[in-house]
Amino acid sequence: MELRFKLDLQLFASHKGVGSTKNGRDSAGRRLGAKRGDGQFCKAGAIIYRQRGTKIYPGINTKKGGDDTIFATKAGIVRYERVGKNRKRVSVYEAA
Amino acid sequence: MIKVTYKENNDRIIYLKSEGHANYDEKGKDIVCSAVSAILIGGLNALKNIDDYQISKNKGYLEIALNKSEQSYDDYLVFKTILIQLRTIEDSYKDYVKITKK
Repeated sequence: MELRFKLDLQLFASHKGVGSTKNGRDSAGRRLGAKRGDGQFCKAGAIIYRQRGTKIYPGINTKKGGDDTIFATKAGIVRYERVGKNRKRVSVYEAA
Repeated sequence: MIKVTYKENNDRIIYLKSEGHANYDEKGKDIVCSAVSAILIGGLNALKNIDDYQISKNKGYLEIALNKSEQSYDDYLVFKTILIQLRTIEDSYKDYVKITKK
């Protein structure tokens, strides 16, 4: 008996290919976090802490940039300090 | 969902159409689609008087129309078998196959 129609077992399958997915994208890591440790010397203008939002607040001789980066305004020793119950700040104390 | 519609009168199945995608699983793993495909294509090959029908077949689409006034009893049984088999699938996979008589 001659078979006129070839079997296509996926005749009524969806078009999606095997293993197709719409996810699988991610941006590169932003390398946030501390760039100078506690007790470390830094120059004026040096970046101390990269962050999104204010995990760490600016303290003495430090300022917050537009992207919330904390940087030193004077050369000196970096100190991380607690402020109140659950806040932290970073200061730079000029070397005597 | 695969939608199957058919027309039957005076012990003749004069029209059968199956369209849509099962979407039960990814292409290549869709068991509902393969069951329906096997039944329909196998059924086509079982028809004795294939030239009595106008058949159009495409991805996710199969339409069979009787273009004669008579239908052999053998072919009628083939169509009945196809429909019973499809109903058996529909019974277990209601979200993926739906059969309607017009």
